[in-house]
Amino acid sequence: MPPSPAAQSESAQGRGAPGPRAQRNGAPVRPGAGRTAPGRNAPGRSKSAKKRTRRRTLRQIARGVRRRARRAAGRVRRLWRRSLQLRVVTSTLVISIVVVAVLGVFLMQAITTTMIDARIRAGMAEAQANVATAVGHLTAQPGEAAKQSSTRQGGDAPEVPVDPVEVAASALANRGNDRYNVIILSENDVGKDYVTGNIDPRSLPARMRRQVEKIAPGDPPQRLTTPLYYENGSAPVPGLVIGHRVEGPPGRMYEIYHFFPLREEEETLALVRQVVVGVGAGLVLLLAAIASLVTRQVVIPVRLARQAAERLAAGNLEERLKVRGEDDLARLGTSFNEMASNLAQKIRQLEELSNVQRQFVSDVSHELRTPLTTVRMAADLLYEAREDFDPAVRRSAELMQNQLERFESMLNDLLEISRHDAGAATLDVESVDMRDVVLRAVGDSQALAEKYSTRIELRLPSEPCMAEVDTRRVERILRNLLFNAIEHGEGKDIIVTLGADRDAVAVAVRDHGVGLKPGEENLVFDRFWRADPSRKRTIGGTGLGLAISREDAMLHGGWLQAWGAPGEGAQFRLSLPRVAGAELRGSPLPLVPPEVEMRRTWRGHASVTPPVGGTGSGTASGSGSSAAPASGAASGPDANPGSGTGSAPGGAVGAPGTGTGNGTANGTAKGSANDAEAGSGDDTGNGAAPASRTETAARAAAEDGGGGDAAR
Amino acid sequence: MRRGERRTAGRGPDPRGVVLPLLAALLLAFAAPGCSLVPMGGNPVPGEEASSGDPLSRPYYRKIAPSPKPDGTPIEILKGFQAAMAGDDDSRVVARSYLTGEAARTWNPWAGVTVYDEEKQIRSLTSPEDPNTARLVLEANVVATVDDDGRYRPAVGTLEDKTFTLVKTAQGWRISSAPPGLLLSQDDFRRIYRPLDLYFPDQQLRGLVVDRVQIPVSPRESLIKSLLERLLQGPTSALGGAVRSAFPGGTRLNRVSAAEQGTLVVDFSAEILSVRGTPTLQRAMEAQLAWTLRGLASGRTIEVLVNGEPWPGGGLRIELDGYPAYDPNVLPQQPEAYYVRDGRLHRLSWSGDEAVVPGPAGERARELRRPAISADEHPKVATLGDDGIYVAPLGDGGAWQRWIRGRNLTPPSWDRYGDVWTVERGGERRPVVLRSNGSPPREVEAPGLQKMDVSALKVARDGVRVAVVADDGLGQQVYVGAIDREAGRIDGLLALDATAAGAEVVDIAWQDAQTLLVLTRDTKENRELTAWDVTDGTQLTSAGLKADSRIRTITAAPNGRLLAGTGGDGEILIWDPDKKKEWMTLDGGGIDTPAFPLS
Repeated sequence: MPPSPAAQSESAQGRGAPGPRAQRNGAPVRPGAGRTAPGRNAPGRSKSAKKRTRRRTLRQIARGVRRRARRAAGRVRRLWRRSLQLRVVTSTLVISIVVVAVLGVFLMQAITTTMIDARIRAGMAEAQANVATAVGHLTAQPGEAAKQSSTRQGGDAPEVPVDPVEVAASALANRGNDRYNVIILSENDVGKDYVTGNIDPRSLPARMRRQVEKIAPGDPPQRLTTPLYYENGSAPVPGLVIGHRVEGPPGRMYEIYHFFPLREEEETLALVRQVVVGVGAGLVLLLAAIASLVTRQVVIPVRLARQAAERLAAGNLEERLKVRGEDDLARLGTSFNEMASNLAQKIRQLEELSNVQRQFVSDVSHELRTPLTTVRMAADLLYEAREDFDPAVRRSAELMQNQLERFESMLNDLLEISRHDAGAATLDVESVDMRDVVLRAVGDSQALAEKYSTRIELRLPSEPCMAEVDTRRVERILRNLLFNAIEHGEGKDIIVTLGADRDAVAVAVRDHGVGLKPGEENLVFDRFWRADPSRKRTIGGTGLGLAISREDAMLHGGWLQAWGAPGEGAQFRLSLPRVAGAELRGSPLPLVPPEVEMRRTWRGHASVTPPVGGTGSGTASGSGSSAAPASGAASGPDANPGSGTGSAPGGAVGAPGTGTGNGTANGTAKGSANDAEAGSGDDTGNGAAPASRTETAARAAAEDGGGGDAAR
Repeated sequence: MRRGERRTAGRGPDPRGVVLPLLAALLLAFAAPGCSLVPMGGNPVPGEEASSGDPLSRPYYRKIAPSPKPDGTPIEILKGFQAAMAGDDDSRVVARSYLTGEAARTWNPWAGVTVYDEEKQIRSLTSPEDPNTARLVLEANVVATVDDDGRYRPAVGTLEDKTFTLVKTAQGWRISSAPPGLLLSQDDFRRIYRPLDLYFPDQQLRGLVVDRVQIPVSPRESLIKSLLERLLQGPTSALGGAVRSAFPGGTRLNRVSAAEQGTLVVDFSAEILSVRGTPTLQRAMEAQLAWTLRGLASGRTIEVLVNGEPWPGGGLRIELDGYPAYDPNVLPQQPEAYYVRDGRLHRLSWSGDEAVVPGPAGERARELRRPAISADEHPKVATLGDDGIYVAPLGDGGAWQRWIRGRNLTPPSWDRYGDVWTVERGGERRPVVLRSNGSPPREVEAPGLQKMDVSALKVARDGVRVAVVADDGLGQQVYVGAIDREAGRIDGLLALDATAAGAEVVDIAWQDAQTLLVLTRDTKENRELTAWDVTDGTQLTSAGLKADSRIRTITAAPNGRLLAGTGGDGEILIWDPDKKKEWMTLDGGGIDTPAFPLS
């Protein structure tokens, strides 16, 4: 299992965990604390959320809206990135809309021009004919027309008027009917202006009249398209005005205006436009649908291939694609299937090879055991009788005894790991108090520690810490960790912390040795891996200890993780579920030691407050109480984390549990910020998490205190 | 290679792949000019008639009312004022702008219309001592006047002066005094007004009577709407109380609109609903509407709404031809004629068959002088005897009865109600108009006939109008009036301009409800036959009637067939407008005095 994602999720869980835990411990919880707890996953946002109280509802609403919009945009963007079909359909839509729009505009322009031109031509022709008629009437002698009337019409029909202008108007009215209207204006006479039909004379624009007055009789007429108004009050319609200037009897000028309504043309154009728009929209939609359909035909096989590849990647080596037809996609499927079977074959071969090797190792170990036992017996004899030998031989016997022990333990480790490899390792779980397990392991390592003059500090909870574990294996893990820490601890203090929450227990072993280089956190668990190949083997570790420990932890369903930094030392953390077989979701202890984490955040904040008394007082008190690691269980300081004065002595007595951070926080910050106290009390010494809640100074003090106390 | 091509073609989602066929189709459309877009061929089909337009909106033209010409001379201002009066200016705002403030307030454009003919001159009476005042006299022959209720009265061509006073104002010359009413030339009048017929039921609601009004054409309102609004206002003074309107008083017209094919929707206000109480009244109202709209909305169906709602009880739809019983002409289209041959009354059918009528009239029991035939269910004949009017039924078993006793009576005339009318000529005394339906005769007042020598009286077929030939001492005139039966009087007598000076009226006859035939004889025995429209007193020249020197009596059917008696010649002349515009002799001898019923 790759450790890095686990570590990440663990650390996230580790920070989120204290909320519920504090509640369980009976600590008074600030009303805001529980509510803001989920926000801690994102420190920046939780900080601002805490600063702005609920009174600023408007801002919150705006923020909510913005957040929702952002989320929706994100969804759309994701959909856009993920859906090939959407992209193709969208681009088809856009391009076809542009094409159809351009075509439609050109089409409409062409139709409009053609229709209006045709109407203008027809109107001009009709107006020309009318003008000829009108001129005929105008130049006739007054009364001449009336004389003709008797032949043309019956007696009681309306007689033809006397005035030639009126005759012309009457003739044009009859000819125009309701198709068009005519206005005849006499320039020389008063009161001889006529209009036919119900057109309003204000439909004649003044600029048109000025223009027509300028032209000479016989010149081409003027024309203009303008709105036409009618006397019945209906809405104006677009129309064409054609203005002629003619001469009747010599010296008498008349203007004749024809008004052609273009209502039908407008209706036709509106209809055509409607059709063009409708057809265009239909075409665009059709193209989009076609694109969608075609893309679908291509995308579905690709999607199937992707899903198959994903399953293959997840380890399902039997996954194959259905191959249909002979097209490119079918060939893709064939190649994919060939690749998958090749991969499966190779993997199987490798597995077999690996199994052979493991079997070989197992067999070799077993086979070596029997001669080794014999050799050992002989060596024991020699060793016991070494006093009788001369010094050189005695030295040899001692050397042989040592190396034989080492050989034996190496052989045991080999056997153990080959058992793990073969899956033959079994758990023998029982419910134990983890404190006892830790103490036993520490006791086992005490001798080695004294040899290296290394002090081991214990921080154990005051309450029993029950867990269903295989004691032997866990002890072995802890032992390995401790040996490892002692070996690399360079004589500095080693801190063993036991933490627990509802679901899990964790043991962290911290040394202050050379530490690990970046990237070595995972390598340490490799078999026979050494941090520095040139270094002398001081305790004769087999090189398999951490690998076996890891296998053991995984057998429990737990994690074994390492952290280290050059010059900072290293910390190994073992996290186990409380109930055997349960899934582990988080660890009660942080992987990175709190003081290191705090220092990092400090550097980030560039705070003015130097980390003065925190560490100093912390270590002082820690060293003072180190002799009685398990004694504080009775005091139960976590019952009163809020009262700084009460918990301070408790912390001094050496309660290693949850309330300790509180005490020292009070001691250093001198009760300056109650908020800080409560916050750190809730968080039970988990120094990194409370950093977010209050001002920097108080927080720094609290964390310092936490760190310092933890060091005790 | 081939596979590669296929791959390109098969790549559906590529937008180029979609647009390319489109462009190709466009190119194809442009590149194929050979095939025509107009479908050609097929069989010839009858073409639809081009819609000749509604009769509602017959082509018309208007005069533009001009604004006063800046710096115009007094004559130009007066001409502009005349044009403004004749212009399309309903409220006469433009015309008022020619008047000074005081005159604009007092001038009343609605006080009737005076129509003059074109021959006129404008005399200027400018007084040299006052350059700011001008008096202009418009001298013209007045042709007619139109009352404010739309009644047209022809005038006898009298020369009249209309005087206008103009003063110079800051804007130029303006008219400070103008005669009231509009002054229109004949052309203006013809252009602005349309003569239209209104129909009103008589007092008994048995038939309709024509009433002609002059309705101005407005571009803002359809002619039908103007007509119906005028109809609701009631009859003109020509009919007065002789008819009534079936529309309840206060009824207003909301809207007239042409609905779907062939329907004209007429929307009245709720007052009209009161006719529902009397079925005969409602029927008369429907007939009135149908006959009035016959001219303008022929071929349509009228749907009557009340305030936008359908007529209560399933709507009211009026077919324009659905009310023949209300025909003012009363007679059928081809009525039988009667004449006297050898002292017996004969019946002459439309196609020319003749027979002796049954009953006493066919038996030479009496001398038949100027017989008149009634048109009711059992026709009767009335004849002028020496001592009165005798009436006999045209059926077996009847006998002659003297209905009106008297000497010196005018020939009898039937009305549609079965009354026989005559006038007792009093010489110097006032004439007495009598009517009788068998019971003792009743006297009918005729204030217009005082001191006149009445020589003939004929009641029109509609039973309301009456034509009288009377001599007031200056010569014979034909008067037309209306009978108010309930009041028992003849009103509104107006002379037709039918007789030249010194001419004598030989006979008159009603052709139809509104056409009166007048036969005159001048001193040189030249006979002249003229047809007159009694609704507006104008002569109808379209019939092209000619007189024959032998004619003594005439009678007419509504469709234009005339019969003329020649007195002693013993012949009957017939004038059939459908065949030939000539008098033809009907064969046979010894026949005289033809008569259509109610003629």
